Amino acid sequence: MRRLPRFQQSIDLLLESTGYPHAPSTICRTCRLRAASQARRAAFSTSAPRNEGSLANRLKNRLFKKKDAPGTGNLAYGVTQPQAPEVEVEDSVPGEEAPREYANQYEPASKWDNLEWVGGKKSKKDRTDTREEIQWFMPRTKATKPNDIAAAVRRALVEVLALQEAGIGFEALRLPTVSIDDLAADVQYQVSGTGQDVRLRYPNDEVKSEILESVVLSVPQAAEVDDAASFLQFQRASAVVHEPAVASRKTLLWKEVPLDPANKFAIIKRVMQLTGIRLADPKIQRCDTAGKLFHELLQRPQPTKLADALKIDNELTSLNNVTFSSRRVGPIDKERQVGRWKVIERELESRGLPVTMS
Amino acid sequence: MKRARIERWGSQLLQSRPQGTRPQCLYQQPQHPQPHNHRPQWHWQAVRAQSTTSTPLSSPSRRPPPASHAPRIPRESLPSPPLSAARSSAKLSALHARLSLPSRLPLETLARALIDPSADPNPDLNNASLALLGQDLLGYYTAEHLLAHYPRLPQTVLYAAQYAYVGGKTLAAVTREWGVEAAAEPGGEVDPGLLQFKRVKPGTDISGAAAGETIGPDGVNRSQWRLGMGMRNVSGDEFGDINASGLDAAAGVTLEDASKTFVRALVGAVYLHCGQLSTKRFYASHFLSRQLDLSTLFAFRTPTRDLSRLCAREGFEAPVARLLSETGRLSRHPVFVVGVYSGPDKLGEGAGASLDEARTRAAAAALKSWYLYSPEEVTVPSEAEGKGDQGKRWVPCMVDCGEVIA
Amino acid sequence: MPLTALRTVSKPQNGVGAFILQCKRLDFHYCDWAGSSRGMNSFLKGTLPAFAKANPQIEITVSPRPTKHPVIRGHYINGREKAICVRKMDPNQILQKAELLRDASGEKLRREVRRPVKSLNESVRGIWSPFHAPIEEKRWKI
Repeated sequence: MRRLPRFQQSIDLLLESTGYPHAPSTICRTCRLRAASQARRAAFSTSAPRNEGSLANRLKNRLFKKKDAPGTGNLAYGVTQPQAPEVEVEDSVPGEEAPREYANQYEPASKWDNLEWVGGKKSKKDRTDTREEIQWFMPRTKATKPNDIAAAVRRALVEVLALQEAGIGFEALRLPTVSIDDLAADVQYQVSGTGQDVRLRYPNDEVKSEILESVVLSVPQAAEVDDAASFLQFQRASAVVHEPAVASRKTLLWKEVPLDPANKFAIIKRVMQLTGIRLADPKIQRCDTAGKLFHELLQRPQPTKLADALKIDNELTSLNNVTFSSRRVGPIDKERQVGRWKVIERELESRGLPVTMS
Repeated sequence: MKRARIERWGSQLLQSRPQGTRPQCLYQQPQHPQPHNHRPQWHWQAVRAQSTTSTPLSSPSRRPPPASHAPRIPRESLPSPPLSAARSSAKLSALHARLSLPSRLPLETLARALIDPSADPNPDLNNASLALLGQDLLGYYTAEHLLAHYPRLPQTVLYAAQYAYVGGKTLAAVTREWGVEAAAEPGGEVDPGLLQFKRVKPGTDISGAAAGETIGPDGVNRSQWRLGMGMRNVSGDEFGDINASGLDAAAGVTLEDASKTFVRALVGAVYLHCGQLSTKRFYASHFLSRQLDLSTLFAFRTPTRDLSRLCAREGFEAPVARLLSETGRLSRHPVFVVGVYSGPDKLGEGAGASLDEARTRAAAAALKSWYLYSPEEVTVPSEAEGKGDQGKRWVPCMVDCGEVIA
Repeated sequence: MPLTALRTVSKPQNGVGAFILQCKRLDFHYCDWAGSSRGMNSFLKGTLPAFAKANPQIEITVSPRPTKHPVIRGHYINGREKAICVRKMDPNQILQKAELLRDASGEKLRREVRRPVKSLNESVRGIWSPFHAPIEEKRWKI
């Protein structure tokens, strides 16, 4: 998009300082508004930097009576930073020829023998082998059953809260190697009186250790540590929640567990990894408890085709004088209903004529 | 009056025969029968039981074998749609509601009533047996209505009136008025709500003349003889017709014949499932409600002679024709109004363009008034059926001494 | 024979005994893409179940007709069809059109001014005839 001329900037400043409702009456309202919006937009412009010898820059330099007046530099990076930030460019890997040298030796081939094939030629089998190496962020199919979704939410809760209590960051939660769905069902959630602090309470030590191990295993940082056992011990020690049952702490159902801003994103991301369901931002904003999150996850997308929407309508399906079709009912369908199509087909085939255009 | 044991005979059609004697089903029902409108990626029709208390009529012969052994058979190769398709046919359900059929009549039986023997020869699956019962019922109810309400109706007119109420053409018209469409070709993929029959090829002689000679019960060939009333009474059907149909089921049937069979089968099915009362109500609302002017059925040859014979038989004074009024005697369009008097009583009146015509019409009107006599209080025999106080008290119908035969 | 009979067919009197609704089938065609079909789509989702339940004697079919305007087509017992295009109509208007089709017979629309009432029965009071008028002053001399 073509940028508007910038030599209006001084006028813009004037207008802004005086407040444009009281701007001079010689300037029409449209121009005033345009100027106001342009002033707001100027700082966030991402278009290419203007030529320094332009009229606007010359005017600016004259006004400020110096060579590099503010606003004449590369405004793409802000008024105070006229130059582009320095980006570290990696040096080319030693051993490879520089592109310029290679360009001299390039010779277009006339046949494709002994040339490298890129894509396409590989057999499907080869492709699937490489595909398996790819680690997908989310499963390709979405979970649909409520039981599966509930198990995923509970598991995410346990894992994230365990990590939170241990003080490990969430960034390293990877795809699971051990399933703790059955164990996650046994874990209880306790919240303090203010309702802010949620802690996990494990039924026994075995469960706790298994959960922590699976969580730790899924954290790659543990692999880097030499002494995995000591790391594990440290985890266990820091994750012990053997506080005496304080009267102010009440046990929550898993659906009532509140999602703090600190762990909400991690939980939702983890649930995404486990179920494959992506939630839109407005929906995420609406969830402040695990139960609401579960409810949002259960929502199936609205069918785009009317035929699909009518199929799930129980009232309509129970009527026995109504017939639906998700495809256009064509002449062949009508002939089939009446029983004539098989006769037509037989006769055409006996004459060696094509039955349908395809 | 003792109840006719029709329901006992009819119950034989409903009971399931033991496994050994059942005719072998010609096909095995596929595991997941696909509706005819099926493309691989679709399609789903409304499926709903019409009545939870209804039981399918011929289900034993249609029960599918264990799914693991059932090979997939395309529906086009079946002679008629399977019974399971009856529940999912919107046309059938709509027909059931349109005719206000009792809910005790299941959809499967209605579907069976739509299948002609020419479409499916299996007697458990076609409407031949139901039609037999229905034909007798319709003939019975019509005949008792006509005989009780018009005791003096001559035999030929009685036959014609019977045909006008429940004859072949009438039943074909009734089928059209009910909105029943016919399938082009019978098959398993056809909508069960269509009338299925094998159509006779165009150009086939259906008059029955080519059927061969009509040999009477005494072995005498009467095909060239004139058909008398006696022959019709003895060997004719309820309309006085003697005709070998001339077509066998394999050659196909006409639309009229198939419609006839369907309506009769429906009446038979209503009787079997719902009883006599419902059947009478069905008959009265669909057949007796039709309008028939019996006076238009008469065609006299010599009404003046017949009238004088009648007066002589009944002991009236000899009929005399008197001119009541006239106009335009010498013009191109005269009108003469003549009355036929027996003594001081005017028996009939007629207008005509000539004196003879007027007198003939007057005599015909007098005869019609005699033949179309209808008593006020009439009890038909079927009303009096029932045990105890269920039926009406039987009052004997008037029986006439007979026609005036010249 | 002195007396022969003429074979006829009795005439139906719909409603005297049983009443047969003349509309036997209604086809509802919609489109997923066309904007003119929005009202029809919401009619099919919201209003059609009640309509179909109230009229069990009508066979109702719902099928898409892609890239075409929505249309309701009625099939009648006399073999004729009536179609109404319901493009850009809201569900209430579409319901009105469906009821219009349901209540119609298949006959063509014609203006009947001469005989508003048709009947198979003859008139009850009789039609005046000059030949049966009384001999007093009302009678015309013929």
